[in-house]
Amino acid sequence: MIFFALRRLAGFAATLFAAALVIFWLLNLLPGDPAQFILGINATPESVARLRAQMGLDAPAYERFLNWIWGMLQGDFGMSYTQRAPVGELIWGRLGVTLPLALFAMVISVAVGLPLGIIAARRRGKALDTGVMVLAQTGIAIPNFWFGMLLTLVFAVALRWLPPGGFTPWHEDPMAALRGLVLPSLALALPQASIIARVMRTALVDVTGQDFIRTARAKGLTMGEAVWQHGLRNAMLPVLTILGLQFAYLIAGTIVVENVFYLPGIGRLIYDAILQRDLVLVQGATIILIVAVTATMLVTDIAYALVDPRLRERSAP
Amino acid sequence: MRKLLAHPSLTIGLGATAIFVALALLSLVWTPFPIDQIDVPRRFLGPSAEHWLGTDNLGRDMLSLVMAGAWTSFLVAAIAVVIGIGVGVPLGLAAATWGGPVEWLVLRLSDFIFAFPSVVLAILITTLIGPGATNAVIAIGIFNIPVFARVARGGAMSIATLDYVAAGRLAGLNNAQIAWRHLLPNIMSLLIVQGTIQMSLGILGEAGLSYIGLGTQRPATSLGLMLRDAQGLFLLHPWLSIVPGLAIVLIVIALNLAGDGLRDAIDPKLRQENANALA
Amino acid sequence: MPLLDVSGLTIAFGSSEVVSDISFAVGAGERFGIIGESGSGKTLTSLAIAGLLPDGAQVSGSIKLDEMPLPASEKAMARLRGQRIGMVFQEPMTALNPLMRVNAQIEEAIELNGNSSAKMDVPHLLAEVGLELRHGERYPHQLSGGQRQRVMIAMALASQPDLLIADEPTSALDLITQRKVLDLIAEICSRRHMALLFISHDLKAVARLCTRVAVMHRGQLVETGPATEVFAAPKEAYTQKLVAASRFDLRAQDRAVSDETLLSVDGITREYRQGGMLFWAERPLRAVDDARFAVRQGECLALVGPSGCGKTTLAKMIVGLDRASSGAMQLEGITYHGSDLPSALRRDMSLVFQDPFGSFNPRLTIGASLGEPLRLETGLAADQVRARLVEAVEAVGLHADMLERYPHEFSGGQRQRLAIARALVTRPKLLVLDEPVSALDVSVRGEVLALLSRLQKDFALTYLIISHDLDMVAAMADRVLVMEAGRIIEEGRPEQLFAAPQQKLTRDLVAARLPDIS
Repeated sequence: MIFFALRRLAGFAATLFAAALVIFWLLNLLPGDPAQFILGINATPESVARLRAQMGLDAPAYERFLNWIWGMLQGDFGMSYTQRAPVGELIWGRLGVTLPLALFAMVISVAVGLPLGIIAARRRGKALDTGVMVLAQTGIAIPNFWFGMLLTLVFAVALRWLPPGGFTPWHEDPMAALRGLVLPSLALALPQASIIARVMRTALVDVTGQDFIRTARAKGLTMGEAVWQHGLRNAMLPVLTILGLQFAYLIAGTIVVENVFYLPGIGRLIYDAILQRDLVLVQGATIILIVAVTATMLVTDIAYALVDPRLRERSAP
Repeated sequence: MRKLLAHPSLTIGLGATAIFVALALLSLVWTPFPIDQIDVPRRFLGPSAEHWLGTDNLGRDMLSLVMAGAWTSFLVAAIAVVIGIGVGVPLGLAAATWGGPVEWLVLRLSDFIFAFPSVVLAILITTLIGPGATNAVIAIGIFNIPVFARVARGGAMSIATLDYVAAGRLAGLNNAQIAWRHLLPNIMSLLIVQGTIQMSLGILGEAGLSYIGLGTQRPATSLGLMLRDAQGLFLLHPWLSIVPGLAIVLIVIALNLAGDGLRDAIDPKLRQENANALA
Repeated sequence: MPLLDVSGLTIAFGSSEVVSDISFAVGAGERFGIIGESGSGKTLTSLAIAGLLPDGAQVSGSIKLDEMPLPASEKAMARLRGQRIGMVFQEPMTALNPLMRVNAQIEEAIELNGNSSAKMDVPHLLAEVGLELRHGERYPHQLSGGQRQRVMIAMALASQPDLLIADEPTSALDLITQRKVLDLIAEICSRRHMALLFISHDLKAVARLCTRVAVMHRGQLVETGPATEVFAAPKEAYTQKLVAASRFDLRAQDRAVSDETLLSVDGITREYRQGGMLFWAERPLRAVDDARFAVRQGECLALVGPSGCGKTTLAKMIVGLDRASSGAMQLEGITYHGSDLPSALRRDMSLVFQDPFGSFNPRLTIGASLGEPLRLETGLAADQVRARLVEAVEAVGLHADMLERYPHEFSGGQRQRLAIARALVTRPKLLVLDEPVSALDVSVRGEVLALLSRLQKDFALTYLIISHDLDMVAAMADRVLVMEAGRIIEEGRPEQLFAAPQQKLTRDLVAARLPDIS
């Protein structure tokens, strides 16, 4: 088990390193001269030279890369040119919106999707199953940001229960902050819950056909008991994989939903940074997103191995 | 063929998709109104005999916009699928046939690309070359590569152990010939099913990217872009967001039904845990 | 009063009847066997008795346990099943929950039936089936097939049932383990005075274990009676066919075996690297260890051994699918190491695979598949290719119009014949056959073996047969090689080898053979 975790950790570090290389190459080396790129074609040579010195661009590429990595390991993500503040701080502030949002959405989607999937599987072929699956089929087709718009129309405009957008910082008024996150979380949760319901149902139905369920019934369990006591845990395996992947992409997906509700999350930050060609900020934000995604996948892999004993001994493919 | 048509979800799905694609294609040569015809006095109209889906904030006909927008969405998603298949399937087959270091490389590459959600890729590309529909194509396309590589590899691996592949080797076929003659035809059905899934994901993905401004730009139009235009106005004029959104939902449902129906028709036992909806 | 009384049992799915009007009775402590091939309905019958039929099955007729009909409610049936019926199924690999330790699974079987006075406990059960306490600590994937089957038996016994239903319990196991598990079942049944319903296609196994038998064919009960009578003097045609097929009567030994060596294997070794990195790397696994033998022109040489002994790996190297780590082989005087077998020689050797259902690409016509090896012969015109295909197909007793059809249109036996035809199409000298009949129904095996025998004589072929089935080997082979853990440990003519085995493994293999049924 230890070996497995260590191997995965090594893979994680390697992926991150490779990702950092690609991001660095794309944003620092490809545009030619980053300083020139940032300031645009009309900039004077002096201002460009000044910015170059400020950004330390005269050092050779590999040195800049390693400095960047070393800085990140210490929490220094560079200085945003446009906002004149450390990138790390900027991102940290925004994470206070993005992370809770992703978490709430995940919790809601699991709380809704899993039970629905189980119910649909137990009542396979009957009306409830078809109903749930039709709902799920619709749910995955609805873009989460559009659903957000619809939710706003219903709950904020028509019913006035919740704010249509904006965000009160946590330290000012936690309850208001929470209320600001309700609609966005629901918007994100809808397609996720639908996917989870479908995967859970499929996994459970598949497991029902397995031989060890027949063995359990032979021991004296009814079909329902056998599936519940033996099948569910086995069916959770593919669901776990999906959950991990979903959460990883959910983090990136908040970027889109933030737009609907004017939330001051990472998405906003990045978008402005792109428009203003703030390479350092884009670089920092991107690598943090990648870290979040990869870390989630790592945790999922390890959790999977914890649940399934078959994975613990085999050597990596 | 007859067997295929016996499944209701397949018929409905394929039929609906065909209709939508036809309408979208039609927009290339004809739309009820030219999509750039601005008619400000007649803006924000609801559905009427003249404008079946109403008009937007500049008086443009919504139905025409939806038709043209759907075309962009289909095109982007389709090209992205072609990229995914064109690069991913050979990689996946190579990994399954040659094994060893080739497989290791393909797997590592796949894991690596999976670490970059489409949104992040789009961000990077946009920073470099500015926003546009091409970005969406590249970002979604690159993400499709490991998806198809994984499906191709998985399918090929379950076939590669079968005896008729060994028989082919005994007959002197080299790896490329084995992949072409024995592996590819037998994973076709898997690829087709995955193709429809990725198409629907591509449409959703393009919509999202255009919505946040990283995808299709004016003067072109896409369903996501229409939603972007609606963003500041929909609280007062909900119709502006309902129309394009509904269009997306219907198209995606049609594609998903077709995909599910295909999967059931081809092999009811074909249940793979797809990494669903990951754009 | 019989323990189990089945009367007029009919099972149908939709409009097709798969079991028609079956009636039989099993007394307390009696050992009853049901013999049938695939499609006979024997498994469905046993599932019906246990109340485990799949959804959509329509059952009519009556099944009574101790004169009481089976309960209708699922829960009551489940509890009854748990307490009074124990079941052992065929596939040990998938029959156990992979996420639970063995102890827990056996424990559950005990808990479910905790009403009886003398409650069993896990160590007791493990000992009864011949397992140790440490096996109980493990997960199923850490046990071998034979061990898993013992766990299944332990779970079946946990409630001290009156009836044990065993459906092909040993078919997926290797020869020596098969014998051990069969003996275990026999011993437990007699010690506990438990009735046994034993279902199998293997006549010799049924003959050994059961006192009364029933023969099923296509859903109908063909013949019933005491085992000795049915096997010694079968009344029905189908039973006679089965009994004859299990005897492998074919000694057409008027073949000429020359002294010339066709293939010589000189110290071949195949090593595999095991997992682990750097210092943690394990020693390489030797699948084949310095194998040495020669195959004479025209002879039929058999290679036997338990599963995992390396015989398939050796065969793969011989035909050129794999490369030896060291050592060499010589075919017709030309040296090679496996995959470097030159094309010109490849057509002199062919391989017939075990599983007829995986041998053909479902998307190609039979003609296309059969024609594939002809790529090795350059310079054949289209009509010559066609002529060869027709010649091959007719040689195996089939028709040329089958060349345009697809694999799924043929039965297992026909596909195996077509596989043999494919092997003949390049007019080879040496045919390597990997378990050529084990995947076929019993009644068909005899025909295919007779075909192989005739072909060898007609076309002056040399055979290398790989098998675990000693009876088939005894009928077909001139010489036998015994393989264990990659090494060839013994060699000889079948009669002398089976009469006086020298090595321990050979003795075990010979001892595991079930006696003839008559």
